[in-house]
Amino acid sequence: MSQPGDPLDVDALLAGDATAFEQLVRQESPRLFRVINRVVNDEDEAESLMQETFLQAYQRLDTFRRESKFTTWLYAIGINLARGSLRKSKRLSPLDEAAVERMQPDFSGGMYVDQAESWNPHRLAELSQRRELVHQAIAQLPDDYRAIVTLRDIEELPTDEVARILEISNGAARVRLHRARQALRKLLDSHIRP
Amino acid sequence: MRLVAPLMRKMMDEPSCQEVNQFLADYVEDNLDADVSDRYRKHVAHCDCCKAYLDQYQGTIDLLHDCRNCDLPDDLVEHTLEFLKERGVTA
Ligand SMILES: [Zn+2]
Repeated sequence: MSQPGDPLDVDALLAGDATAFEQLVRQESPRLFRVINRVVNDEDEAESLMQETFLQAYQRLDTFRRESKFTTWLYAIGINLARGSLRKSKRLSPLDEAAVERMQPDFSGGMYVDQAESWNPHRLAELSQRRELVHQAIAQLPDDYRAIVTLRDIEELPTDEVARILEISNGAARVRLHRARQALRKLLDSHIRP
Repeated sequence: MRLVAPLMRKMMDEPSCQEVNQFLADYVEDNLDADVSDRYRKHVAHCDCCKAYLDQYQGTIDLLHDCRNCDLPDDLVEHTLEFLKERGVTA
């Protein structure tokens, strides 16, 4: 009997072994659900997209080329389905690319125009709705930014793996991640330091 | 002061706040070459702006790390296995 965290038996998976696939589902469902849910912001939709992700992965097993980890390939399918669902529903995120740009710090002569103030750790610890606050801040970001912050900073996948999942270069992933964090910093700052 | 500072920095090979900011993601993950990282560390050590900004940037990452556990729908795995079974994937 396999335990969560056991390495996946990729050979068995690719051979269409039902037990290996069940292990994959048991092992990856929670994380895959969390990632998709952050992108679509809808639990019912996220659950059905996650199920569809496993089904498509199974139907397309022969297209897995072992150039990446199996889970990287699986998450790429999930992210693409989540994006497709957003496109179909035409739901727009509260903030667009221009808003993210405005939340990047301004510089003059290489120096910060506005000086930040360190967050008070006591105030941070006292903030009872911390997670809710972060959750709401993420939900405001454009889809691509929500996806990268979720994969890298919440699920803590390595940046190169995140880049592969999102099908962008390592450099593009770093830039997008940095911009997303800076936008979140700005959104959180107004709540943490009133 | 604004005009002199960039010039002084250039003479002393000191990075600007903007340069440090540009590489902040690599800086916090310790992905920079040791000499570059050293230059940035020295700058941050005596620059209040960068120190405070870095603090908030790292604070943001820490808050995100702390955010992983969200409630999962009941029987998420069982529902998925059922869904796949109906489609002939799992036994
Ligand atoms: Zn500085």
